[in-house]
Amino acid sequence: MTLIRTSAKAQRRARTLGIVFLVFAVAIVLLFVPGANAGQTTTFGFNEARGQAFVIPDLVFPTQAGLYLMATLVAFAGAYQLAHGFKRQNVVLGIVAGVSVLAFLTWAARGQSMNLTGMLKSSLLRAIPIILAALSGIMCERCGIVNIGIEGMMLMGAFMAALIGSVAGSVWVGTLGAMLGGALMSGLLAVLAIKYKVNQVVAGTAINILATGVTSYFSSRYLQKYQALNTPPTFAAIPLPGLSRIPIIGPALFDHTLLVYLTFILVIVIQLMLFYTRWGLRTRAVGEHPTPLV
Amino acid sequence: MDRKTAAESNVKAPERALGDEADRVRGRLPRGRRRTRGRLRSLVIPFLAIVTALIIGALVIVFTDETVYAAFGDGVGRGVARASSVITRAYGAFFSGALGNPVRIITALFSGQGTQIRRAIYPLTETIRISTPYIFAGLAVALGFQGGLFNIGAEGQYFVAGLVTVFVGYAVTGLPGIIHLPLALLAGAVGGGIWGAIPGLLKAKTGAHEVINTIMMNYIAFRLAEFMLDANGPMARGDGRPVSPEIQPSAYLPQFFPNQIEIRVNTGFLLALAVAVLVWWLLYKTTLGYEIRTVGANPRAARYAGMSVARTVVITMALSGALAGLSASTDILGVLHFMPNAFSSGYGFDAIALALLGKSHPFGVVLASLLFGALRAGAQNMQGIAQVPVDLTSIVQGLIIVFIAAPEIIRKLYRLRQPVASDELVTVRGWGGA
Repeated sequence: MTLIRTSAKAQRRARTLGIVFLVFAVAIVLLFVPGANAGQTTTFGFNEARGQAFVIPDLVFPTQAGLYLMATLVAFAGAYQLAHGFKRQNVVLGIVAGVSVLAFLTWAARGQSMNLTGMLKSSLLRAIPIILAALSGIMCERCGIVNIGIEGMMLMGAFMAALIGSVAGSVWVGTLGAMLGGALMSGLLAVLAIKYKVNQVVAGTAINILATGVTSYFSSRYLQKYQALNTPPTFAAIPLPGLSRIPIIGPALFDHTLLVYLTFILVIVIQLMLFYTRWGLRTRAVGEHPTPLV
Repeated sequence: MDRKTAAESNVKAPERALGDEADRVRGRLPRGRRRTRGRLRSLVIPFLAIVTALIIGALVIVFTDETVYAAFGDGVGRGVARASSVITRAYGAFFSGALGNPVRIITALFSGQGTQIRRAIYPLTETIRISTPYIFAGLAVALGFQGGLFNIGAEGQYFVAGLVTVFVGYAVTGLPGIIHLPLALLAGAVGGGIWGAIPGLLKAKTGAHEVINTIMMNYIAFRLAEFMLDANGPMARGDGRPVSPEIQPSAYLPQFFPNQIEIRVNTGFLLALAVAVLVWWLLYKTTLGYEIRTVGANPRAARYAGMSVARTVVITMALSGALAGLSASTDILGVLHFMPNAFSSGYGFDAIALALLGKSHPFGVVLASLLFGALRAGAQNMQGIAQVPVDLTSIVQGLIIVFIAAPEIIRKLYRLRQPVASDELVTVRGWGGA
């Protein structure tokens, strides 16, 4: 009985997925193709100006034909999924999503050229704050804390980094200041939630509002008046020798500031700490169920 | 507290008599007076929380004022005098901006001159105007809390409802006001309701957490509004400005002072009060409200009692979204009369604080909204007159929430007695367990 029901459920999921693929194909044709003129071409560049091991030629193709090709690919995936069904559905889903994004880029870059490597690089740069904040979220979730206040902690960190970094004139002191600012807000959350038994969501909301207020109040009182307080030094990019000269992934991954590399390392370190140390086991146990441990 | 009151009112007469007898034996006050006294006592903590937050706000003002430091350099007495004059000026501007100058109001009332009265009560009308959208948004979040749902998406629902309302407001022409206005309000409520129901549906069907989904729906709504109201967007006015066309006068919410343009308070406030009563009635006097509160308190018990948790979750989120939507509708139909691209007001996010402050009770939310409206109106005046940044309100708001959520701090500060029985309201469940 259960078996039949699961398979029925899986069938329904497979069918839905196929229909979703077809919808994607139709969307590419309906949304993107009409925007492109017949003669237009799309150019994707892959080269960064800085010394690269070798140069990859730009990819130039007619926009409309490219879009039709992508739509056909996606439609084929949908048809095959409906008729036979892929074994690895999630992989195919990923590919279809990727092709759809590519179709969007093709449409956006119609009649001009777009540097995909540069886009990858800036995507990564923009992802770094989110990665760090998400690591904070992972630590909290794993030990059973609902941390709504990450936004406030980030705000306070940014404020402290700007202020202390400017005063000290050092990127590292500024970074320490940011960590201190975040930790202060985090400590407030801990005191409120543990000592005063405040609901964690409530405390987090209060922290967000407080941090917004404190940072914007002090910045309009001081930082805007004394510009010197808001000119922190910034990390310089350190291209990794050798690795940064590989085309595409070199500039995208290995030509960044120290903080970016530290973030990569932190992801691994936190994974190891949570799953391979006694501290991690205890943290996760508290998160699963605190009472047996008391 | 409210759940207890509801339970108390269901106690059958003989039991109540027994309870009264027990009261007499124990030498306690009779039931009715005990309840009033309990209500009064429950106002002590919020009152002290507000006072304490304002005191800390005053300290922040003093400590960030350079003239105070300079005066302290000349001598302690001068420093104290300067500090008190700084606070008096800032908070004087704050209170006269929030409530008006009482002396002026009284003299104006005695003079009997219309213009003078209107000018004197102008700050008060601004407070009421700002608190109107706050009431709706606060009710939205409070209703979610009652149903155990954390609606962070009030801001997004606000944006979507704004788009729908303004579209009905300018695109539908030739209707009399008596049809057009309700239609525009309804459109906003439906728009916000649908935007709120989607995360509800996702939660009911797949268990996806509503906090995540309402946040994501916020982003969709922000970008949608940005797209629609872009200078060349589908809903732009067409003169290169990123604003929607003006709505038809038939969709305006009637003003209290139609001839005085600067007084912007309108009948939206009455609507807000009426809706607050309606929400109270829904929550405490109807089956649906009982189901919402039961699901909020304990979904397993609700299921065991034969309630459909999924259905209740969807309905709660839809109603919550509709309330958040009305917040935008009244703002557009009553005050703005068009929708700007930069519509963000923070009402949806402040609403979370309002619901917490009002302990998720509709009337509590109304009081909290009036307070926040006063804070905003006062802070604007304070910035204009005393050059204290308007952001001080956020600090004060945050502190108020902290103190109300952690009454222990206030009790320690003011050496208050511990309450006999704690009747704290469980606002939301975390998403780790449950």
